[in-house]
Amino acid sequence: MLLLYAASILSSSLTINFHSFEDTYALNPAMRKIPLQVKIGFLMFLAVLLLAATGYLSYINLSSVVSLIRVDTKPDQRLLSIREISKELEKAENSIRLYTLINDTKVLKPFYSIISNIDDKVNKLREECGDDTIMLQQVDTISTLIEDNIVIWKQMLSLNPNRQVMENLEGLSEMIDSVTVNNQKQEQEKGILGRVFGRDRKIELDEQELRDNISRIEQQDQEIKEKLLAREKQLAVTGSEIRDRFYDLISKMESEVSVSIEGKASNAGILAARFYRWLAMFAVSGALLAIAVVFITVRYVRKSDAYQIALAKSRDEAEKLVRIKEMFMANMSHEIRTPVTAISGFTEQLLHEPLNEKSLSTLRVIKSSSDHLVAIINDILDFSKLQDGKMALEQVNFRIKNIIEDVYVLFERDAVKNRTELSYSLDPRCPEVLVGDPYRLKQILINLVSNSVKFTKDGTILYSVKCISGDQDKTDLVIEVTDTGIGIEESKLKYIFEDFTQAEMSITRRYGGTGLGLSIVKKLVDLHNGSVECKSIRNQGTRITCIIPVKRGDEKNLVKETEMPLRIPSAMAGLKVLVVDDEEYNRLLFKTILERWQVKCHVAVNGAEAIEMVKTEKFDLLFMDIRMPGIDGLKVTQFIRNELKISAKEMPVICITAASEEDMKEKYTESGMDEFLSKPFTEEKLLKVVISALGGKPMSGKETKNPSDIDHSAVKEKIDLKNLYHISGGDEQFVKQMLVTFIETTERGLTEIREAFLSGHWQTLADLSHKLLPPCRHLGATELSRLLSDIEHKAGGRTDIGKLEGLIQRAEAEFGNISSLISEHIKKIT
Amino acid sequence: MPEMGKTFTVLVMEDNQYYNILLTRTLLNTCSLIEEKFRCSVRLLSFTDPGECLLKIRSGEFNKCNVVAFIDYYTGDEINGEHISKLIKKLCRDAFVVLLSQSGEPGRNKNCMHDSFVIKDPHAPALCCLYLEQFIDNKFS
Repeated sequence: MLLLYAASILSSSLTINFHSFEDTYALNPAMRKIPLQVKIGFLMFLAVLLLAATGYLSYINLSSVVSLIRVDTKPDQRLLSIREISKELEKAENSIRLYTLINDTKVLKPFYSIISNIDDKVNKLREECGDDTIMLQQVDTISTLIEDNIVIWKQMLSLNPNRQVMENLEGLSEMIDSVTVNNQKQEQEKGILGRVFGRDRKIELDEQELRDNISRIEQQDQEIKEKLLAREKQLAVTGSEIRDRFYDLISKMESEVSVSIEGKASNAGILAARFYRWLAMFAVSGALLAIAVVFITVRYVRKSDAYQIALAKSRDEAEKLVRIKEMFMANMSHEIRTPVTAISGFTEQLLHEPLNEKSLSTLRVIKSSSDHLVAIINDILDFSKLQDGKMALEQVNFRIKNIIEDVYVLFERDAVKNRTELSYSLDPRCPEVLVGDPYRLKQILINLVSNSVKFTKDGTILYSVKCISGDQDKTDLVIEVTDTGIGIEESKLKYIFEDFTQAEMSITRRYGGTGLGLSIVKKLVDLHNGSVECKSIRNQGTRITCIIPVKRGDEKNLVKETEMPLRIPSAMAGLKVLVVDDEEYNRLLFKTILERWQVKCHVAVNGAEAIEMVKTEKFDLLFMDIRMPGIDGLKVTQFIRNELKISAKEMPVICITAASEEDMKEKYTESGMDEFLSKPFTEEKLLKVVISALGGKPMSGKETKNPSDIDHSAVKEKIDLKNLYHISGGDEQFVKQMLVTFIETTERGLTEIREAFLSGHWQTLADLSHKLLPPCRHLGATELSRLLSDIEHKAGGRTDIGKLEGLIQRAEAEFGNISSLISEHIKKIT
Repeated sequence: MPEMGKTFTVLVMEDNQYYNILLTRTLLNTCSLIEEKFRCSVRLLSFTDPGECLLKIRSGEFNKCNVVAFIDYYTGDEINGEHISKLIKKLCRDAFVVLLSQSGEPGRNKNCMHDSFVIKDPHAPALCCLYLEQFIDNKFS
């Protein structure tokens, strides 16, 4: 079942594989619910189960086979018993035979021992034969034969010929002994003379009796031998029969064993086959499971890869969207700020003109509207930055009082317009100097007060700044803005800090606004790790409280603010300024303002033009737009600083862009810009930036080159290898190669010039001179360049042809000088 | 926006051998920096013979665009930079062509195809590098 389920999983997976990525889940929603871990876990569990089952069954089968083998290795007990009986009988027979030979009764001991135990052994064999009647019958026959054998053996013992002979001989000996004893008695009775001279009594033995006895003994012996022979024959017959019986038994048993082995082998074969089947099943199942696991894993990896690709694609798209958004914001900022700059700037310029009251009023409306538009753009940009987490807070020392006062000045007039009393308070316990981001704190306060001013008519607005708790280094700044304006319904309070939200749509229609003010406040407060709270009662008023942690500052670390003169300094007159901007009205605005300041204003429409102008003219100040067609302002500035070697001291560069200073600061500093002017700008702002950029620089007059600045790589002032060494990056071999090339090409060029002159091909002559000019200029061969330039103009214009020869000769001579100088220099290069 | 690994072609046509080496060497240094910065490949082809240069352009190698060409205006052999510039623009509309001349910009009319102009003063090689850098910067921004 489990295997079937596994197979179903596998088949499901395989089915899935045939469908597209999306279809997979659509076709098999059940599969979607099974996580990969469960699938793998289940298959692993199945594999373990299968392995255990197969192992168990294999063990059982193997055990059976092994036990069969073990049984077969044991010897047949019946066979052993037969062998033992047979051996015993043989031993008994040997014992009898030995006895008949040596006639020593001791050798009969095993015989008696055997015949006394033989019955037990036969009985044991009988028992071992069990229910096998044929074998039992055989055993019974063997038993009878053994008994017959024993009888014969016993008879043989009784017929022992040696014993009979010995008995007869003993009788004969006794007879002789009795005769000898009688003779000795007679001798003793005779005395000495009788014994010496008497006749021997032996001679007196009856010879006939002895002959008879011997003959009788021989006869008896012969009889016994015959009987023994008969018994021997009988014994041989019975022994042979016993052996036959034993052989029968053994062969029968062997055939039985053979049959048994065949049976067992057959059983073992069956068991082995079963075992092989299990092994095969295990292998196949294991392989299937492994394939399933591999398949699922591969599928998972593939799917994971697909997810990764999709994820990377999404990330790329998200990043692209972010970039597009950033680009859009930058473009929007640029595209809106640029015309607004013109509107605001020209309006401001027009306000300086003597106009009637109506025109002035109209212009003020235009100015106010453009300022409002700028504020909205700033809000949107700030909001975007806050949303992207790209806004960083500054940590500088500042006076909180200044912020409060600035905000008051900003809104005082608007409050008066609404017949609203605007006031502020600063807690005297607050440190005078704090450390934080004054710009953002001011922005928070501006947004809050701006809202209050907007929604409060004929009422009061009070904003206060307090400091609570804190320690020696830190304190919590509590900014509270309270008004008696239209208020907000309690149910809508929770939405007011959301993006693009106003309490009611009617508010947007009536009061205007983007709905970003409070959202920006919330985000800025969050950025400070602070909190913001709003309490409001409809038609009674609103109180918004922000708690922002700040550090205590130090008076000594305050950035000294230069009091910028609002009057145009007289030193400004006569300054030579270059404005680089592709927008015509921006150029015009600059020109209008700067010329009113009596500044000589030059304009360039793109970076390339600016470079050409800076190369040929000296300017006291340069305004550089960033976004321009062709080469951008940053690169142009880098070129001016690094390639043209015009320092910030000689010519400060002010960056003009629609982007915020924070975004651009690093870039413009890196590229060599000195100040930053954000579009749109006011005349006051422009003046501040110009004064700041010029600093202590003398404001006019061309500076002469310091003798110490003259490049030491100049070779006796005829040529200047500075540019070549600069490009070589220290590679002297390159310098050598270039100098050799210069000599070769210029020499060839001059020869061609001479030929063209001689043949009167003036245009060719002009072209050839023209060709030789750039390398000569590059090597600082000023005189040669001048001569070639003269030749080109005279030949090209067909004027003063007569002077051409002289010029060519001078050029050749000058080249000769330069050539020897260069050759000397080449020799110095190893 | 080109993907990372994109190939750019820089074409230099300057018949003066000295100035050619100078320009090529300077551009090569910038190419290495660009390759490192944008992880792209920049191929630089330099010619002193305008005929050879035209043949190479006609071979169709530049059809994939991303070409920045620095062409000397007075190339001799009755071929001027504007001819080469037109051919490049014809084959590759997005190519950026900078004309080089030791004097001012040759008369510009509606038929002019080049995108910018550089005077062959000692700063010209650096200015060419600036154009190249800007072109590739724009492609990646």
